[in-house]
Amino acid sequence: MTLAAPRRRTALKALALASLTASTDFALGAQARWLPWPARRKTPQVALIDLDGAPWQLAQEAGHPVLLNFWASWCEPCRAEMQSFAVLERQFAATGLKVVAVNFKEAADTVRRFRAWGGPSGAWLRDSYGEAADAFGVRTFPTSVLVDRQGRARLRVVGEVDWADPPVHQKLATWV
Amino acid sequence: MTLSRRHLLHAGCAAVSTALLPLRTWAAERRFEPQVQGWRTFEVTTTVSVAEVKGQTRVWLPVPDLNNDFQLSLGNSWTGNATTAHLVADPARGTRMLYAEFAETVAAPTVSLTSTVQTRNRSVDWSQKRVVHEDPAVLRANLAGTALLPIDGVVLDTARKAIQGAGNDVEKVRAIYQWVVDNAYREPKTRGCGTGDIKAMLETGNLSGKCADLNALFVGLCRSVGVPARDIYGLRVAPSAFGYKELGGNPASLKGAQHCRAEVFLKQYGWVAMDPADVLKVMRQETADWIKDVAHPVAAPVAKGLFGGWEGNWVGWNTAHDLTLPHFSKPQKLPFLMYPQGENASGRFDELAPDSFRYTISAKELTA
Repeated sequence: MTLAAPRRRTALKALALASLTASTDFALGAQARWLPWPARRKTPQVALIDLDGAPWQLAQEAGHPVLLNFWASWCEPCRAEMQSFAVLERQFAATGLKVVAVNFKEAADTVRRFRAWGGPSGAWLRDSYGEAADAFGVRTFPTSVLVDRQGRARLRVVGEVDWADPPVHQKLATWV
Repeated sequence: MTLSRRHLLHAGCAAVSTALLPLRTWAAERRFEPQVQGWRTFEVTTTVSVAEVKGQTRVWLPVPDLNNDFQLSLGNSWTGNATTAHLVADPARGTRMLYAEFAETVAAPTVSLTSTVQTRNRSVDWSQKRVVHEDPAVLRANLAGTALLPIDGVVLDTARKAIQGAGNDVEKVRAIYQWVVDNAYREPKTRGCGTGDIKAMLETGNLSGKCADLNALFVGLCRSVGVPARDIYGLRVAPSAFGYKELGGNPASLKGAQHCRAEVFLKQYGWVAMDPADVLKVMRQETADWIKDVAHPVAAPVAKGLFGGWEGNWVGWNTAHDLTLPHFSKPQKLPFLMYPQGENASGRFDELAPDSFRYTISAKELTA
């Protein structure tokens, strides 16, 4: 068999996202995709457990907006944006916005170690079966889903975002 | 190191010092030519222990479940403190696995599974065409899409572009193999062997990963254009006889030695071995520098040899996608079963973190 000389590797083009293929070789800073939640699509009513084993349901967050951040420790953009959630929470403190960190299929110890470095003040949840990610259609990390105070998903943000960035706050203000 | 630089180095070695001759010889004489020969017998032992006990613990371990012209799965035995342990099967495909269940009173759940298996090299003789019959149901199953390997949309579009100009199935497979080698790449940082979500790979343009990504890409592309293909999930159990460090496993500790290969069904040859992922592994990791040209003397023999053959230093578990684990607490399907699986009241264990969900795998070659 003869093989032609390699063509330009499409995989080496700038990539912003860590797909479920779990690659961590990507360029940071590319544009995240801001996608409105489809009007006809119901908001999944997921139930997970937190790091202490306590049950958590999305419904219990009704009354204030929630940003569900789907992340994994092996995902570089996830790690990069994590520290900026504290700024976001302060910025929208008057609205009661909570950022909830939903870890994808990793061990509790891994999540605990990661939480010790800082991040959002809301719940830290384990999606050990990947059910919540499936329900919200998450195939790329990080993905964040904004749920309004009525418990309706309004927005899905795919890719890394600097949540401390004022233009990002302006975008979110429409929904929060 | 580029090819030209390597040539310069060769010239320099020859001119300057005979002490460097072994390096020059090594580089010039790499070969990878698996030939069908005698069987090798291995005992493969997987030992799992669960450190954090919470409620009932359930564990599923893959077992060698293939019997064909390159592998004979001879038997399984297990020990440990499981409350119950027995072989179970995925109801849809009959794929077998060991299931061990531990009552919550078991303080330190552990199970050790030993499987005996015979393997040998594979190598298709492209000059010997014949008529091969296969069960139509098997062919249909290996043409179908799966949860992570859809065969329409971006997968089909990509495959059609890859096979432009190809006439028969052999040419299609050759074109897809070449397309994968040319366009995808091995990413050492990928967790485990990757997840095999080929739609996400193609949609994001991120064609990096490991065997479960790269060979899944090959399999999905083949299926989408009507060539039956399948992944075989397994484990490297011994070093490569051809000296390729990346194509073998250290039998004393096989953590991270999981490897899936691929097969295609060609009417005139039957099921034929394929492994473009290992070509990409050699290109990325066999030498200190990333080999970008498959014509490189280190990569070229592997690219040729893995199109139609592979070494018998590897044991296959199964070929199943979208499995149901009997007794699993959720109505979820598993994309594939290559790693130990487990769960307890705190949730599903992370199978890609073998130091937290503790398991070790080793192999021993048995000689007559």
